[in-house]
Amino acid sequence: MPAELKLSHTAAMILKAIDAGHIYGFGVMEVTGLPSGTVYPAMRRLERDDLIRSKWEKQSIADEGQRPPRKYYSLTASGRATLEASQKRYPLLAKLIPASFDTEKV
Amino acid sequence: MNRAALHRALLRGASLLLHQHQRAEWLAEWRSELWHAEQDSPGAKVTASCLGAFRDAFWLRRHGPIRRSWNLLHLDTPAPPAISEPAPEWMLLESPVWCLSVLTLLAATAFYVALTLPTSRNVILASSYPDERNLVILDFDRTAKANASGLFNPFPSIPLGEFSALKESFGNRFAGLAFYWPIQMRAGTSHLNIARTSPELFRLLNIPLPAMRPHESSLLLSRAAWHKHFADDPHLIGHRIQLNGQSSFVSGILSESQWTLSSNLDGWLVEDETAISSLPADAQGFALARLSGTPPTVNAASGRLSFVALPDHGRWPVFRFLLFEFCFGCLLLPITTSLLSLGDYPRAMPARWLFLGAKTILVFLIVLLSVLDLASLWGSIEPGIFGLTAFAALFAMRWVIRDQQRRCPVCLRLLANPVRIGQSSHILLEWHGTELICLRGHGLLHIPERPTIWFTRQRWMDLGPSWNELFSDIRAN
Repeated sequence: MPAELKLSHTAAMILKAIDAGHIYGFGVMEVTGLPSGTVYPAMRRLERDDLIRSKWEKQSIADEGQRPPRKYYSLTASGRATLEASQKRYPLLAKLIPASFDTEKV
Repeated sequence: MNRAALHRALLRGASLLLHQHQRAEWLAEWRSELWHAEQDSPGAKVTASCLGAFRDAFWLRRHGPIRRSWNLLHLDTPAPPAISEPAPEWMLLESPVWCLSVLTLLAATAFYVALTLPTSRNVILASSYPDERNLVILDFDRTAKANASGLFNPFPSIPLGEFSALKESFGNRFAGLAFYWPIQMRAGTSHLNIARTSPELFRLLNIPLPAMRPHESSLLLSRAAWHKHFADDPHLIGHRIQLNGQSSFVSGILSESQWTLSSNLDGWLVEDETAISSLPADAQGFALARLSGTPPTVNAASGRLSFVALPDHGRWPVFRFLLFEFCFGCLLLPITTSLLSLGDYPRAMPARWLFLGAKTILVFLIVLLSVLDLASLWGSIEPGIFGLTAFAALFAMRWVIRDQQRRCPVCLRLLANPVRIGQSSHILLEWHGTELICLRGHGLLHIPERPTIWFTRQRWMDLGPSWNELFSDIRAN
């Protein structure tokens, strides 16, 4: 699967962060330590390549929490396969990105 | 302005980079993120995040519009090339075979252009005369003349009267003697530089002559003059033209590669010896001789005879000069490009060096022929133009070295997936720099950002057979 091999280290980190439960942009920035100017374009690129998908939170849920609706990201099937291949290339990826304990439900 | 207002102003400013139809959804996402970020960690960190919005907006503007959909960010435009692949302009050069093919094509094109331009064609096709070391130009009292004028004339001339006296007294001491007298003659409305000479000149230079008609002068035209004054008229040969009011039979065209002694002659009026000896005794021309063995000592009435070797002509002086300039450019190469990384590989890989050699030879040819083409377009072969060779060689060889450094030593393909590793602040603990991978799985190349005593130059790491499965698809293609 050639797509698996096209992933840069940055993209692999972001993919791993989303898989670990950091499902919105700011969370990915926090866990990877990457700046927003890197994370957001990279996430748009991953979405364009169909490795992740985004979904807006329902307005009613946001209203309940008295906050603006948020955009959440999740891995697609090909994103998951790509991540697996990337973890073989970057074995330290799993150690770099810890799992999130407060994963929000979309 | 408080910090929250500043953040909103930054986002609003960044949104102006976007197309109007992209703006609403993009702003909604960023404002939502900003709200959450301000809750979690207010301060400079959030401001820095907002500054990143400019880069995000710029990326979106370049790579595609957001459809006016609240639910899904969707990019309509075709996907740009993946960031990890070699840039499109280099895709053609990614394969070593294609790389050499492209370079060969460029060299062939430069060669073809050189053959179509007259000046460069003459340089390429010009050859030396047979047994040239025995061909000399004659001069009298050369040392005395040099003392008087302060320099040696590389192409001395003598009067016809002195040549005739020499030939009569000492002609048997030479294998051949010939004289030619350049003079301006009128042909119709054109003025031509014509050398009046005898067939002996062409015999000395081993240039075949068309058969002459008895008691009739024969005119050979240079290709340039034929083109310039007679519009390449093929019917001219075999016909007569008027030169200074006298009829001359045009017997042929002489190419520039055949006559390389001087370039300012438009033609040669070949006459029999009697006609030449009847020319004015003070006609200042050039005497050529072919020596047979040791040069004879001749003290004629005009002084001691000197023998001057033919000045550099033909293709080799030009190519020698170009080669010198190319080598000079290569000597400057270490100033701009590190050559250290060419040999730091775990095992001998002869294919690498063969590939490097082939690239160097092709680039050498491309540079030389291109400069020759340029000089031809300029109109003359001048050392000033050839100075370009050094600069062209510098840049061309820099590309050769850098291209070689970025290739897999096994399959010789360009490496891909550049990944930045580490940070400059970690320099004391570990290396930081860029890592590239061979897409066929042969190995990884580590390039340090800054050379240190433990990591001075790039390192190649072979990937073992356990990686084969990961790259099996690509290897199969």
